[in-house]
Amino acid sequence: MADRTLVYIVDDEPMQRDMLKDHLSKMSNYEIHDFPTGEECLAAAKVRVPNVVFLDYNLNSQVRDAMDGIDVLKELKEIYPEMEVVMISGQDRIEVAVNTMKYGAFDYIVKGEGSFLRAEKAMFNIYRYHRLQGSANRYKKLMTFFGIGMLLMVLLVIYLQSQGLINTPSWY
Amino acid sequence: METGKPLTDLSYLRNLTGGASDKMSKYIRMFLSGTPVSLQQMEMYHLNKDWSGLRQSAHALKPQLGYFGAKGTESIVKEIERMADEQSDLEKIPQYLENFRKQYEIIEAELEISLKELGN
Repeated sequence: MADRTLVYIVDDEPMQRDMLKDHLSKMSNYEIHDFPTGEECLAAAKVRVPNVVFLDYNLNSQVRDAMDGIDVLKELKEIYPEMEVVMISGQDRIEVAVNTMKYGAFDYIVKGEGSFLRAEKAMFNIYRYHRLQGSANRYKKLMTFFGIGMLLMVLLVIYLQSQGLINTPSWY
Repeated sequence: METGKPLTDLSYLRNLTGGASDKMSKYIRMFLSGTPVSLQQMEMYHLNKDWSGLRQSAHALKPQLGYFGAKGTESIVKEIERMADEQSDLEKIPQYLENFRKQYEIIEAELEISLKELGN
């Protein structure tokens, strides 16, 4: 992830947006921008791709024909698969949570008194996940180089033996 | 409704903001300016039998009431959301909307006092 994590918050409720923005700003040096609709978030993401998006599930309480959260999630994950999206909803129905995970959401938070702490925890989990993923990728690369190195060494020995430049060990 | 007992409790908000009076005042003002609009919307959706709109407005308002500790009012709105969602007990909705309006008037008065106390 970039040095300064870019976070977008999408919620049609201004107070909800402000509270989450204030809370996350207090936690770390995030660069946070907020949007009342998914359409505005998608337009902003075309200019600057955020690392994390907190996305409300229901986005049409103010603008009735606004895109809903699931459609925004699908579009974001299709265009930017590396971006992490945390869905937020007032619904604590399991099928809603499962649905968001199916489309690639990193986490699902139910709006309410514990939601700001959950958002903070989600940021920490995303950070940890990306750090682990980075380590796993480095380890994978290292193992690939090691494998290639071993293969080259074996090929070199076979070549040198075939040219009579080195002897086959007596025990072989 | 119980008399004398406040409908709101700002302890959650105080905890969340670390007692920052400017933040608390900001959220109270946002709530006081947004809720009457939501209430009006809900009444309009009810008149137009727009159950999806009513459900959506009630749904959006619900968590905010919780942040101000208005648990009783939150459950009224939750019930309106349920009735609109399931389109059941629709004849009860006007009574629930009326109760909500009455409770909001009390909440508004309590929050106005809190604003003065916060001094912002």
